[in-house]
Amino acid sequence: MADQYRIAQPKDYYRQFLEKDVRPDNRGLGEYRATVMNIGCVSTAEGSSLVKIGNTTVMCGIKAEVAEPGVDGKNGYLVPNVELSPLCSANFRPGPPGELAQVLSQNMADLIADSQCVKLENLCVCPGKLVWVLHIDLVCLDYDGNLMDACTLAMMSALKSTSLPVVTVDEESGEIKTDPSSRTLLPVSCCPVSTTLIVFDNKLLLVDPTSEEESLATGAVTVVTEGKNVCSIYKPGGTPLTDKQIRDCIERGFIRGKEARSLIEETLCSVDR
Amino acid sequence: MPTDTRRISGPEISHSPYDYCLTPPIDLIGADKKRLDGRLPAQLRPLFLRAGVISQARGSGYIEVDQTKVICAVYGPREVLRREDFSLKGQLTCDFKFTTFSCRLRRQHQQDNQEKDLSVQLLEALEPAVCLQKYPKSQINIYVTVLQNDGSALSAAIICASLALASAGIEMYDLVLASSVAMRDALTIVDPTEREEEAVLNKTHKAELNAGSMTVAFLPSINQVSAISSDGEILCETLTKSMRLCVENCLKLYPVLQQALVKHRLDKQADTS
Repeated sequence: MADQYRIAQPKDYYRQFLEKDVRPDNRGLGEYRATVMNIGCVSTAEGSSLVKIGNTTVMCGIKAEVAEPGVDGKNGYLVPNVELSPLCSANFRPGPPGELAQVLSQNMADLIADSQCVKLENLCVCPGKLVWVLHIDLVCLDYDGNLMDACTLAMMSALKSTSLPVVTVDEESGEIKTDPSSRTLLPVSCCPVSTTLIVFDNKLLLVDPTSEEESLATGAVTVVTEGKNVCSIYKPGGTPLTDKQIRDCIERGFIRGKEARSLIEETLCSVDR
Repeated sequence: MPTDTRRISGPEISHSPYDYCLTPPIDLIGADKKRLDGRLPAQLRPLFLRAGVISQARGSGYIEVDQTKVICAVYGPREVLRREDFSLKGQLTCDFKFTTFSCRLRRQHQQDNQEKDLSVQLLEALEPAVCLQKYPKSQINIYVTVLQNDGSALSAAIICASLALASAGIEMYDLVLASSVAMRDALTIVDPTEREEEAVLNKTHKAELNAGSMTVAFLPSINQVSAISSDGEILCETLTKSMRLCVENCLKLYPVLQQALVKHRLDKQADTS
Protein backbone atom coordinates (compact mmCIF):
# COMPACT_ATOMS: atom_id res chain seq x y z
CA MET A 1 0.00 0.00 0.00
CA ALA A 2 2.73 2.39 1.00
CA ASP A 3 4.47 1.81 -2.33
CA GLN A 4 1.41 2.82 -4.35
CA TYR A 5 0.94 5.89 -2.17
CA ARG A 6 4.57 6.79 -2.76
CA ILE A 7 4.11 6.66 -6.54
CA ALA A 8 0.70 8.37 -6.67
CA GLN A 9 1.30 11.12 -4.09
CA PRO A 10 5.07 11.42 -3.66
CA LYS A 11 4.91 14.88 -2.08
CA ASP A 12 2.36 13.90 0.55
CA TYR A 13 4.31 10.75 1.22
CA TYR A 14 7.46 12.75 1.86
CA ARG A 15 5.61 15.35 3.96
CA GLN A 16 4.44 12.69 6.39
CA PHE A 17 8.03 11.62 6.97
CA LEU A 18 9.51 15.11 7.05
CA GLU A 19 7.02 16.24 9.73
CA LYS A 20 8.82 13.83 12.03
CA ASP A 21 12.25 15.10 10.89
CA VAL A 22 13.18 11.89 9.12
CA ARG A 23 13.38 10.83 5.47
CA PRO A 24 11.90 7.68 3.91
CA ASP A 25 15.36 6.09 3.75
CA ASN A 26 15.78 6.58 7.52
CA ARG A 27 18.12 9.55 7.25
CA GLY A 28 17.84 12.80 9.16
CA LEU A 29 17.38 15.98 7.10
CA GLY A 30 21.04 16.93 7.33
CA GLU A 31 22.48 13.48 7.00
CA TYR A 32 24.64 12.19 4.13
CA ARG A 33 24.36 8.71 2.70
CA ALA A 34 27.28 6.38 3.33
CA THR A 35 30.22 7.46 1.17
CA VAL A 36 32.64 4.84 -0.11
CA MET A 37 35.79 5.56 -2.06
CA ASN A 38 38.36 3.52 -3.93
CA ILE A 39 41.47 5.09 -5.38
CA GLY A 40 43.68 3.77 -8.18
CA CYS A 41 41.16 1.22 -9.45
CA VAL A 42 42.03 1.59 -13.16
CA SER A 43 45.68 0.92 -13.87
CA THR A 44 45.51 2.08 -17.52
CA ALA A 45 44.77 5.62 -16.31
CA GLU A 46 47.38 7.92 -14.74
CA GLY A 47 44.96 8.61 -11.89
CA SER A 48 41.61 7.07 -11.06
CA SER A 49 38.99 6.73 -8.38
CA LEU A 50 35.54 5.36 -7.75
CA VAL A 51 33.12 7.15 -5.44
CA LYS A 52 29.82 5.86 -4.15
CA ILE A 53 27.41 8.09 -2.24
CA GLY A 54 24.60 5.71 -1.36
CA ASN A 55 23.67 4.20 -4.70
CA THR A 56 25.12 7.01 -6.80
CA THR A 57 28.36 5.79 -8.38
CA VAL A 58 30.88 7.87 -10.31
CA MET A 59 34.18 6.72 -11.74
CA CYS A 60 36.90 9.17 -12.62
CA GLY A 61 39.85 8.36 -14.84
CA ILE A 62 42.61 10.78 -15.70
CA LYS A 63 44.56 10.17 -18.88
CA ALA A 64 47.65 12.30 -19.47
CA GLU A 65 48.82 13.33 -22.92
CA VAL A 66 51.40 15.81 -24.12
CA ALA A 67 50.80 18.69 -26.51
CA GLU A 68 52.30 21.94 -27.70
CA PRO A 69 51.44 24.86 -25.41
CA GLY A 70 49.24 27.78 -26.44
CA VAL A 71 50.45 31.34 -26.93
CA ASP A 72 51.53 31.82 -23.29
CA GLY A 73 54.01 29.00 -23.73
CA LYS A 74 53.84 27.35 -20.33
CA ASN A 75 50.26 26.61 -19.29
CA GLY A 76 49.03 23.04 -19.49
CA TYR A 77 45.50 21.93 -20.09
CA LEU A 78 42.89 20.40 -17.78
CA VAL A 79 39.92 18.99 -19.66
CA PRO A 80 37.12 17.72 -17.42
CA ASN A 81 34.12 16.00 -18.99
CA VAL A 82 31.16 14.31 -17.35
CA GLU A 83 29.57 11.41 -19.18
CA LEU A 84 26.01 10.44 -18.25
CA SER A 85 25.77 7.25 -20.22
CA PRO A 86 22.43 5.45 -20.76
CA LEU A 87 23.89 2.79 -18.48
CA CYS A 88 23.33 4.80 -15.31
CA SER A 89 19.64 5.65 -15.53
CA ALA A 90 16.58 5.00 -17.68
CA ASN A 91 16.29 8.76 -18.33
CA PHE A 92 19.38 8.96 -20.52
CA ARG A 93 19.63 7.79 -24.12
CA PRO A 94 22.71 7.13 -26.23
CA GLY A 95 24.02 10.14 -28.11
CA PRO A 96 25.80 13.41 -27.42
CA PRO A 97 25.83 14.71 -23.82
CA GLY A 98 22.58 16.24 -22.60
CA GLU A 99 22.02 19.47 -20.72
CA LEU A 100 22.76 18.04 -17.29
CA ALA A 101 26.05 16.50 -18.43
CA GLN A 102 27.14 19.79 -20.03
CA VAL A 103 26.29 21.75 -16.89
CA LEU A 104 28.22 19.31 -14.72
CA SER A 105 31.25 19.39 -17.02
CA GLN A 106 31.30 23.18 -16.86
CA ASN A 107 30.87 23.08 -13.08
CA MET A 108 33.90 20.82 -12.80
CA ALA A 109 35.96 23.14 -15.02
CA ASP A 110 34.90 26.15 -12.93
CA LEU A 111 35.72 24.33 -9.74
CA ILE A 112 39.29 23.71 -10.86
CA ALA A 113 39.70 27.26 -12.13
CA ASP A 114 38.19 28.90 -9.01
CA SER A 115 39.98 26.84 -6.40
CA GLN A 116 43.32 26.74 -8.26
CA CYS A 117 43.82 23.24 -6.87
CA VAL A 118 46.02 22.31 -9.84
CA LYS A 119 48.02 25.20 -11.20
CA LEU A 120 48.35 25.16 -14.96
CA GLU A 121 52.01 26.27 -14.72
CA ASN A 122 52.74 23.01 -12.91
CA LEU A 123 51.71 21.10 -16.02
CA CYS A 124 54.61 22.43 -18.05
CA VAL A 125 57.13 19.86 -19.30
CA CYS A 126 59.40 22.19 -21.28
CA PRO A 127 58.55 25.90 -21.60
CA GLY A 128 57.44 26.82 -25.09
CA LYS A 129 57.71 23.28 -26.34
CA LEU A 130 55.67 20.76 -24.41
CA VAL A 131 52.95 20.75 -21.76
CA TRP A 132 50.70 18.14 -20.18
CA VAL A 133 47.06 17.70 -21.13
CA LEU A 134 45.07 15.99 -18.41
CA HIS A 135 41.84 14.51 -19.73
CA ILE A 136 39.64 14.13 -16.65
CA ASP A 137 36.75 11.88 -17.60
CA LEU A 138 33.97 11.26 -15.13
CA VAL A 139 31.63 8.40 -15.94
CA CYS A 140 28.41 7.98 -14.02
CA LEU A 141 27.69 4.30 -13.43
CA ASP A 142 24.58 4.64 -11.29
CA TYR A 143 22.45 7.77 -11.07
CA ASP A 144 20.63 8.17 -7.76
CA GLY A 145 20.84 11.89 -7.17
CA ASN A 146 23.50 14.32 -5.99
CA LEU A 147 25.83 13.77 -8.89
CA MET A 148 27.62 17.07 -8.29
CA ASP A 149 29.06 15.97 -4.94
CA ALA A 150 30.00 12.55 -6.24
CA CYS A 151 31.73 14.11 -9.25
CA THR A 152 33.79 16.62 -7.25
CA LEU A 153 34.81 13.97 -4.76
CA ALA A 154 35.79 11.54 -7.55
CA MET A 155 37.67 14.21 -9.46
CA MET A 156 39.62 15.50 -6.47
CA SER A 157 40.58 12.06 -5.23
CA ALA A 158 41.66 11.02 -8.74
CA LEU A 159 43.73 14.19 -9.14
CA LYS A 160 45.39 13.57 -5.79
CA SER A 161 46.38 10.06 -6.86
CA THR A 162 47.64 11.07 -10.32
CA SER A 163 51.24 10.24 -11.10
CA LEU A 164 52.85 11.22 -14.39
CA PRO A 165 55.73 9.48 -16.15
CA VAL A 166 58.91 11.51 -16.45
CA VAL A 167 59.14 13.18 -19.85
CA THR A 168 62.21 15.07 -21.01
CA VAL A 169 62.80 17.21 -24.06
CA ASP A 170 66.29 17.32 -25.51
CA GLU A 171 67.47 20.96 -25.60
CA GLU A 172 69.19 20.79 -28.98
CA SER A 173 67.41 18.20 -31.07
CA GLY A 174 63.97 18.76 -29.49
CA GLU A 175 63.56 15.04 -29.18
CA ILE A 176 61.00 13.86 -26.64
CA LYS A 177 61.81 10.96 -24.36
CA THR A 178 59.57 9.20 -21.83
CA ASP A 179 60.76 7.15 -18.93
CA PRO A 180 57.73 5.12 -17.83
CA SER A 181 59.56 3.48 -14.93
CA SER A 182 59.96 6.68 -12.88
CA ARG A 183 56.89 8.70 -12.01
CA THR A 184 56.15 11.96 -10.24
CA LEU A 185 53.03 12.84 -8.28
CA LEU A 186 50.88 15.65 -9.61
CA PRO A 187 51.03 18.61 -7.19
CA VAL A 188 47.53 19.34 -5.87
CA SER A 189 47.53 22.36 -3.57
CA CYS A 190 44.04 22.16 -2.10
CA CYS A 191 40.96 20.01 -2.09
CA PRO A 192 37.59 21.69 -2.64
CA VAL A 193 34.52 19.70 -1.57
CA SER A 194 30.97 20.41 -2.66
CA THR A 195 27.82 19.98 -0.60
CA THR A 196 24.42 19.93 -2.28
CA LEU A 197 21.12 20.68 -0.57
CA ILE A 198 17.65 20.79 -2.03
CA VAL A 199 14.67 22.84 -0.91
CA PHE A 200 11.50 20.89 -0.25
CA ASP A 201 8.11 22.67 -0.18
CA ASN A 202 9.86 26.05 -0.34
CA LYS A 203 11.09 25.81 3.25
CA LEU A 204 12.83 22.58 4.29
CA LEU A 205 16.49 21.96 3.42
CA LEU A 206 17.53 18.39 2.67
CA VAL A 207 21.18 17.45 2.37
CA ASP A 208 22.42 14.95 -0.25
CA PRO A 209 19.22 14.33 -2.23
CA THR A 210 18.40 11.03 -3.92
CA SER A 211 17.08 11.18 -7.48
CA GLU A 212 13.51 10.91 -6.15
CA GLU A 213 14.06 13.86 -3.83
CA GLU A 214 15.68 15.84 -6.65
CA SER A 215 12.56 15.39 -8.77
CA LEU A 216 10.37 16.81 -5.95
CA ALA A 217 12.68 19.71 -5.12
CA THR A 218 11.64 23.32 -5.54
CA GLY A 219 15.24 24.51 -5.60
CA ALA A 220 18.81 23.42 -5.04
CA VAL A 221 22.00 24.97 -3.76
CA THR A 222 25.59 23.73 -3.93
CA VAL A 223 28.25 25.10 -1.61
CA VAL A 224 31.88 24.42 -2.41
CA THR A 225 34.23 24.78 0.52
CA GLU A 226 37.99 24.59 0.78
CA GLY A 227 39.48 24.43 4.26
CA LYS A 228 37.98 27.41 6.10
CA ASN A 229 36.98 29.25 2.92
CA VAL A 230 33.94 29.16 0.71
CA CYS A 231 35.06 28.56 -2.84
CA SER A 232 31.75 29.04 -4.62
CA ILE A 233 28.01 28.92 -4.11
CA TYR A 234 25.93 27.69 -7.01
CA LYS A 235 22.20 28.23 -6.86
CA PRO A 236 20.46 27.73 -10.20
CA GLY A 237 17.11 29.48 -9.70
CA GLY A 238 14.34 27.88 -7.69
CA THR A 239 12.98 28.97 -4.32
CA PRO A 240 14.62 32.12 -2.94
CA LEU A 241 16.46 31.43 0.30
CA THR A 242 16.74 33.63 3.38
CA ASP A 243 19.99 34.86 4.80
CA LYS A 244 19.75 32.37 7.65
CA GLN A 245 19.16 29.43 5.31
CA ILE A 246 22.17 30.28 3.18
CA ARG A 247 24.27 30.50 6.33
CA ASP A 248 22.97 27.08 7.41
CA CYS A 249 23.95 25.67 4.03
CA ILE A 250 27.47 27.06 4.34
CA GLU A 251 27.73 25.70 7.88
CA ARG A 252 26.73 22.26 6.63
CA GLY A 253 29.22 22.61 3.79
CA PHE A 254 32.10 23.10 6.21
CA ILE A 255 31.17 20.00 8.19
CA ARG A 256 30.91 17.91 5.01
CA GLY A 257 34.15 19.36 3.68
CA LYS A 258 36.02 18.20 6.76
CA GLU A 259 34.53 14.70 6.58
CA ALA A 260 35.21 14.33 2.87
CA ARG A 261 38.80 15.52 3.09
CA SER A 262 39.61 13.09 5.88
CA LEU A 263 37.98 10.32 3.82
CA ILE A 264 40.24 11.14 0.86
CA GLU A 265 43.34 11.26 3.08
CA GLU A 266 42.45 7.95 4.74
CA THR A 267 41.86 6.26 1.40
CA LEU A 268 45.08 7.64 -0.07
CA CYS A 269 47.02 6.30 2.91
CA SER A 270 45.43 2.86 2.73
CA VAL A 271 46.19 2.39 -0.97
CA ASP A 272 49.84 1.92 -1.80
CA ARG A 273 50.92 3.59 -4.99
CA MET B 1 37.19 16.33 -37.47
CA PRO B 2 34.09 18.31 -36.53
CA THR B 3 34.41 20.10 -33.22
CA ASP B 4 32.26 18.88 -30.37
CA THR B 5 30.49 21.89 -28.88
CA ARG B 6 28.82 19.93 -26.11
CA ARG B 7 32.02 18.85 -24.45
CA ILE B 8 34.96 20.73 -23.06
CA SER B 9 37.77 20.28 -25.54
CA GLY B 10 41.52 20.31 -25.07
CA PRO B 11 44.15 21.17 -27.66
CA GLU B 12 43.50 19.83 -31.15
CA ILE B 13 46.62 17.69 -31.34
CA SER B 14 47.99 15.78 -28.40
CA HIS B 15 50.01 12.59 -28.09
CA SER B 16 50.34 9.88 -25.54
CA PRO B 17 53.61 10.17 -23.61
CA TYR B 18 54.14 6.45 -24.20
CA ASP B 19 54.60 7.14 -27.92
CA TYR B 20 58.06 8.42 -27.01
CA CYS B 21 59.44 5.35 -25.31
CA LEU B 22 60.41 1.99 -26.70
CA THR B 23 58.20 -0.95 -25.88
CA PRO B 24 60.18 -4.09 -26.55
CA PRO B 25 58.33 -6.83 -28.40
CA ILE B 26 57.20 -9.53 -26.03
CA ASP B 27 57.56 -13.27 -26.21
CA LEU B 28 54.22 -14.97 -25.81
CA ILE B 29 55.82 -17.75 -23.89
CA GLY B 30 59.02 -17.76 -21.87
CA ALA B 31 61.71 -20.41 -21.50
CA ASP B 32 59.89 -21.88 -18.51
CA LYS B 33 56.79 -22.54 -20.66
CA LYS B 34 54.93 -19.80 -18.82
CA ARG B 35 53.32 -16.62 -20.09
CA LEU B 36 54.20 -13.05 -19.09
CA ASP B 37 51.80 -13.06 -16.15
CA GLY B 38 52.98 -16.49 -15.00
CA ARG B 39 50.07 -18.46 -16.40
CA LEU B 40 50.32 -21.71 -18.34
CA PRO B 41 49.10 -21.50 -21.97
CA ALA B 42 45.81 -23.24 -21.14
CA GLN B 43 45.17 -21.44 -17.87
CA LEU B 44 42.25 -19.04 -17.40
CA ARG B 45 42.45 -15.91 -15.31
CA PRO B 46 40.58 -15.65 -11.99
CA LEU B 47 37.08 -14.28 -12.37
CA PHE B 48 34.83 -12.11 -10.22
CA LEU B 49 31.14 -11.79 -11.04
CA ARG B 50 28.35 -9.90 -9.34
CA ALA B 51 24.77 -9.11 -10.30
CA GLY B 52 22.62 -6.18 -9.18
CA VAL B 53 25.28 -3.46 -9.06
CA ILE B 54 23.23 -0.63 -10.63
CA SER B 55 20.21 0.43 -8.59
CA GLN B 56 18.43 2.23 -11.45
CA ALA B 57 18.61 -0.60 -13.97
CA ARG B 58 16.21 -3.50 -14.28
CA GLY B 59 19.18 -5.85 -14.24
CA SER B 60 22.91 -5.34 -14.12
CA GLY B 61 26.19 -7.16 -13.85
CA TYR B 62 29.83 -6.53 -13.16
CA ILE B 63 32.71 -8.75 -14.21
CA GLU B 64 36.38 -8.59 -13.40
CA VAL B 65 38.77 -10.91 -15.20
CA ASP B 66 41.99 -9.96 -13.48
CA GLN B 67 42.50 -6.43 -14.94
CA THR B 68 39.64 -6.48 -17.45
CA LYS B 69 36.65 -4.76 -15.82
CA VAL B 70 33.26 -4.57 -17.50
CA ILE B 71 29.92 -3.26 -16.21
CA CYS B 72 26.58 -3.86 -17.90
CA ALA B 73 23.02 -2.60 -17.42
CA VAL B 74 19.78 -3.91 -18.88
CA TYR B 75 16.73 -1.66 -19.25
CA GLY B 76 13.35 -2.83 -20.41
CA PRO B 77 11.25 -4.33 -21.77
CA ARG B 78 10.14 -0.79 -22.61
CA GLU B 79 8.11 0.72 -25.40
CA VAL B 80 9.62 1.33 -28.81
CA LEU B 81 10.33 5.02 -29.26
CA ARG B 82 9.98 5.36 -33.02
CA ARG B 83 6.97 4.10 -34.92
CA GLU B 84 9.08 2.76 -37.78
CA ASP B 85 10.75 0.35 -35.37
CA PHE B 86 7.46 -1.33 -34.53
CA SER B 87 7.64 -5.11 -34.57
CA LEU B 88 5.60 -7.94 -33.12
CA LYS B 89 8.77 -9.62 -32.00
CA GLY B 90 10.72 -8.04 -29.18
CA GLN B 91 13.89 -6.18 -30.08
CA LEU B 92 17.26 -6.36 -28.46
CA THR B 93 19.75 -3.50 -28.72
CA CYS B 94 23.35 -3.50 -27.57
CA ASP B 95 25.57 -0.54 -26.93
CA PHE B 96 29.23 -1.33 -26.36
CA LYS B 97 31.51 1.42 -25.08
CA PHE B 98 35.06 1.68 -23.88
CA THR B 99 35.58 4.46 -21.35
CA THR B 100 38.15 6.98 -22.58
CA PHE B 101 40.65 5.84 -19.95
CA SER B 102 40.12 2.09 -20.31
CA CYS B 103 42.96 1.34 -22.73
CA ARG B 104 46.64 2.15 -22.91
CA LEU B 105 45.94 4.85 -25.48
CA ARG B 106 43.12 7.30 -24.82
CA ARG B 107 39.84 6.67 -26.62
CA GLN B 108 37.37 9.22 -27.91
CA HIS B 109 33.94 9.94 -26.42
CA GLN B 110 32.05 9.05 -29.60
CA GLN B 111 31.58 5.44 -30.47
CA ASP B 112 34.29 4.39 -32.92
CA ASN B 113 34.25 1.61 -35.51
CA GLN B 114 35.67 -1.02 -33.20
CA GLU B 115 33.01 -0.29 -30.61
CA LYS B 116 30.26 -0.46 -33.22
CA ASP B 117 31.64 -3.75 -34.44
CA LEU B 118 31.76 -5.15 -30.91
CA SER B 119 28.17 -3.96 -30.28
CA VAL B 120 27.00 -6.06 -33.22
CA GLN B 121 29.04 -9.08 -32.16
CA LEU B 122 27.62 -8.85 -28.66
CA LEU B 123 24.09 -8.59 -30.01
CA GLU B 124 24.60 -11.61 -32.24
CA ALA B 125 25.90 -13.66 -29.35
CA LEU B 126 22.99 -12.80 -27.05
CA GLU B 127 20.01 -12.71 -29.42
CA PRO B 128 19.67 -16.49 -29.88
CA ALA B 129 19.43 -16.93 -26.11
CA VAL B 130 16.59 -14.47 -25.44
CA CYS B 131 12.94 -15.52 -25.93
CA LEU B 132 12.12 -12.43 -27.95
CA GLN B 133 8.67 -13.67 -28.99
CA LYS B 134 7.60 -13.20 -25.37
CA TYR B 135 8.14 -9.44 -25.59
CA PRO B 136 6.03 -8.17 -28.49
CA LYS B 137 6.09 -4.45 -29.39
CA SER B 138 8.86 -3.73 -26.92
CA GLN B 139 12.58 -3.38 -26.76
CA ILE B 140 15.25 -4.49 -24.35
CA ASN B 141 18.34 -2.31 -24.14
CA ILE B 142 21.72 -3.60 -23.08
CA TYR B 143 24.43 -1.10 -22.25
CA VAL B 144 27.96 -2.36 -21.77
CA THR B 145 30.82 -0.18 -20.59
CA VAL B 146 34.39 -1.42 -20.39
CA LEU B 147 36.05 0.31 -17.45
CA GLN B 148 39.44 -1.22 -18.10
CA ASN B 149 40.53 -3.38 -20.99
CA ASP B 150 43.19 -5.99 -20.47
CA GLY B 151 42.24 -8.35 -23.25
CA SER B 152 39.27 -10.65 -23.92
CA ALA B 153 36.89 -7.71 -23.45
CA LEU B 154 34.27 -9.20 -25.77
CA SER B 155 33.99 -12.49 -23.94
CA ALA B 156 33.85 -10.67 -20.59
CA ALA B 157 31.12 -8.44 -21.99
CA ILE B 158 29.06 -11.41 -23.21
CA ILE B 159 29.21 -13.14 -19.83
CA CYS B 160 28.40 -9.91 -18.02
CA ALA B 161 25.48 -9.07 -20.32
CA SER B 162 23.96 -12.52 -20.01
CA LEU B 163 24.19 -12.23 -16.22
CA ALA B 164 22.52 -8.81 -16.39
CA LEU B 165 19.74 -10.15 -18.65
CA ALA B 166 19.09 -13.06 -16.32
CA SER B 167 19.09 -10.84 -13.22
CA ALA B 168 16.57 -8.56 -14.97
CA GLY B 169 14.21 -11.51 -15.23
CA ILE B 170 14.23 -11.53 -19.04
CA GLU B 171 13.13 -14.96 -20.27
CA MET B 172 16.01 -16.83 -21.85
CA TYR B 173 16.65 -20.29 -23.23
CA ASP B 174 19.98 -20.44 -21.47
CA LEU B 175 22.78 -18.35 -20.06
CA VAL B 176 25.43 -17.33 -22.58
CA LEU B 177 29.07 -17.95 -21.85
CA ALA B 178 32.07 -16.90 -23.87
CA SER B 179 35.73 -17.60 -24.09
CA SER B 180 38.64 -16.34 -26.17
CA VAL B 181 41.86 -17.86 -27.43
CA ALA B 182 44.78 -16.41 -29.31
CA MET B 183 46.98 -18.40 -31.68
CA ARG B 184 50.49 -17.92 -32.93
CA ASP B 185 52.03 -20.66 -35.06
CA ALA B 186 51.66 -23.89 -33.09
CA LEU B 187 51.01 -22.12 -29.83
CA THR B 188 47.47 -21.57 -28.50
CA ILE B 189 46.88 -19.44 -25.43
CA VAL B 190 43.52 -19.09 -23.71
CA ASP B 191 42.06 -15.89 -22.26
CA PRO B 192 44.75 -13.58 -23.76
CA THR B 193 45.68 -10.29 -22.13
CA GLU B 194 45.80 -7.09 -24.15
CA ARG B 195 49.54 -7.30 -24.77
CA GLU B 196 49.20 -10.87 -25.94
CA GLU B 197 46.34 -9.97 -28.26
CA GLU B 198 48.46 -7.22 -29.72
CA ALA B 199 51.55 -9.41 -30.11
CA VAL B 200 49.58 -12.09 -31.97
CA LEU B 201 48.30 -9.66 -34.58
CA ASN B 202 51.63 -7.88 -34.87
CA LYS B 203 52.26 -7.39 -38.58
CA THR B 204 56.04 -7.01 -38.44
CA HIS B 205 56.60 -10.58 -37.36
CA LYS B 206 55.41 -12.84 -40.15
CA ALA B 207 53.84 -15.93 -38.68
CA GLU B 208 54.21 -19.18 -40.58
CA LEU B 209 51.03 -21.03 -39.70
CA ASN B 210 48.52 -19.12 -37.63
CA ALA B 211 48.27 -15.62 -36.31
CA GLY B 212 44.93 -14.66 -34.90
CA SER B 213 42.41 -14.81 -32.13
CA MET B 214 38.91 -16.12 -31.76
CA THR B 215 35.94 -15.74 -29.43
CA VAL B 216 33.19 -18.30 -29.05
CA ALA B 217 29.84 -17.74 -27.33
CA PHE B 218 28.20 -20.90 -26.09
CA LEU B 219 24.87 -21.95 -24.52
CA PRO B 220 25.85 -24.86 -22.27
CA SER B 221 22.58 -26.53 -21.32
CA ILE B 222 21.20 -26.67 -24.87
CA ASN B 223 24.70 -27.31 -26.19
CA GLN B 224 24.68 -24.70 -28.94
CA VAL B 225 27.20 -22.17 -30.14
CA SER B 226 25.58 -18.77 -30.58
CA ALA B 227 28.45 -16.82 -32.09
CA ILE B 228 31.99 -17.25 -33.35
CA SER B 229 34.26 -14.46 -34.37
CA SER B 230 37.84 -14.81 -35.46
CA ASP B 231 40.55 -12.37 -36.43
CA GLY B 232 43.68 -12.96 -38.44
CA GLU B 233 44.85 -15.97 -40.42
CA ILE B 234 44.16 -19.34 -38.88
CA LEU B 235 44.37 -22.83 -40.36
CA CYS B 236 41.04 -24.62 -40.60
CA GLU B 237 42.28 -27.49 -38.46
CA THR B 238 43.50 -25.17 -35.72
CA LEU B 239 40.21 -23.30 -35.85
CA THR B 240 38.11 -26.37 -35.05
CA LYS B 241 40.55 -27.42 -32.37
CA SER B 242 40.46 -24.00 -30.68
CA MET B 243 36.71 -23.91 -30.91
CA ARG B 244 36.52 -27.10 -28.91
CA LEU B 245 38.93 -25.58 -26.42
CA CYS B 246 36.74 -22.47 -26.09
CA VAL B 247 33.62 -24.58 -25.49
CA GLU B 248 35.46 -26.52 -22.78
CA ASN B 249 36.46 -23.27 -21.11
CA CYS B 250 32.90 -21.99 -21.28
CA LEU B 251 31.73 -25.10 -19.45
CA LYS B 252 34.30 -24.41 -16.73
CA LEU B 253 32.81 -20.94 -16.20
CA TYR B 254 29.17 -22.09 -16.19
CA PRO B 255 28.99 -22.86 -12.43
CA VAL B 256 30.53 -19.45 -11.62
CA LEU B 257 27.78 -17.66 -13.52
CA GLN B 258 25.07 -19.82 -11.96
CA GLN B 259 26.45 -19.13 -8.50
CA ALA B 260 26.50 -15.37 -9.07
CA LEU B 261 22.86 -15.52 -10.15
CA VAL B 262 21.78 -17.62 -7.18
CA LYS B 263 23.60 -15.28 -4.82
CA HIS B 264 21.81 -12.31 -6.38
CA ARG B 265 18.41 -14.00 -5.86
CA LEU B 266 19.17 -14.84 -2.24
CA ASP B 267 20.38 -11.29 -1.52
CA LYS B 268 17.20 -9.89 -3.03
CA GLN B 269 15.03 -12.20 -0.94
CA ALA B 270 16.91 -11.26 2.20
CA ASP B 271 16.33 -7.58 1.40
CA THR B 272 12.57 -7.88 0.97
CA SER B 273 11.93 -10.09 3.99
